[in-house]
Amino acid sequence: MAEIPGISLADLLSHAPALAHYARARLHEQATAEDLVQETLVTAVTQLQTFQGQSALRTWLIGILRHKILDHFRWQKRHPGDVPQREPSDDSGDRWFLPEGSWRLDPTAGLHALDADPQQVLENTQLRTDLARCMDKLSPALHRAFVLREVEQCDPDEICAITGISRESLAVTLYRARTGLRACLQAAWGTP
Amino acid sequence: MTPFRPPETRWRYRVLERLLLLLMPGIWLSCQAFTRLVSEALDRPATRREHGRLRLHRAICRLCRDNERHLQRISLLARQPGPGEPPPIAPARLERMRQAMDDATRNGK
Repeated sequence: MAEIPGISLADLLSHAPALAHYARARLHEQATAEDLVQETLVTAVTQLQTFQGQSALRTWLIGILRHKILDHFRWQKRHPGDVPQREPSDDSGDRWFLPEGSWRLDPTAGLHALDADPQQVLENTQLRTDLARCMDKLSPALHRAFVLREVEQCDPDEICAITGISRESLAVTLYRARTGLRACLQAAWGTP
Repeated sequence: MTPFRPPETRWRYRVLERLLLLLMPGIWLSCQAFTRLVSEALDRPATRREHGRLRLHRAICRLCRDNERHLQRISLLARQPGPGEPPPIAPARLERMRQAMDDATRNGK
């Protein structure tokens, strides 16, 4: 095994669970998340001489992993056939509205947990778990757009470049993702 | 789903909506249009005109006001990483990662 001054394989490997956690928050599948973590660690091993040590090792690894995740999204754009299913054609957001555009169903029913002040909402671990579960239920296209925009906080133009969709359809996609998550939380909390 | 009981102020909302549609046809937003704009405003700054339209609708429609807050909270929650320990990786998977790293060092750069 090649000598790596200061940092051993075990050191790198000790970051694997945190890296997998980071990846899983951005990807549908645990297996994909772990594959990208493995790629990240292999890249790290081969490029350890470029690690200057100004940043923490974890930060450096997360930087590599983030690139791999964005590359994975770009790859999905080039291989749409590999993404399990296309967008369902029915406009599921619209059953919430009457034809003239006012509410048909109550969008706020059962969401009292979201009425708390921001700090309380952030500390509500049950809410976090439920939201993560609901994100997993989004279709791949909605999930990708939502993750890039909200979790990664990418600029909308950057998201369009990565996913290959227009600004207009990104707006519609994000609208559907956000309202879909809200509806999913309502269902999870017993308000179908 | 149980049929949605209109909020108590619905008739008032209806009357106001009709009135505003008549008086300010370009400014009044439907609840659906309002919600779409709320989502867009999370991605780009709203124009002054849009701000005005949002404010007007918000002032009159409790449902939309609450729904807007809920959508913003969901966005906030997604943006902040959760606290707590990451779950462990299966030992066998971890071992495969170690193998791959070993191979990479052995095969050189």
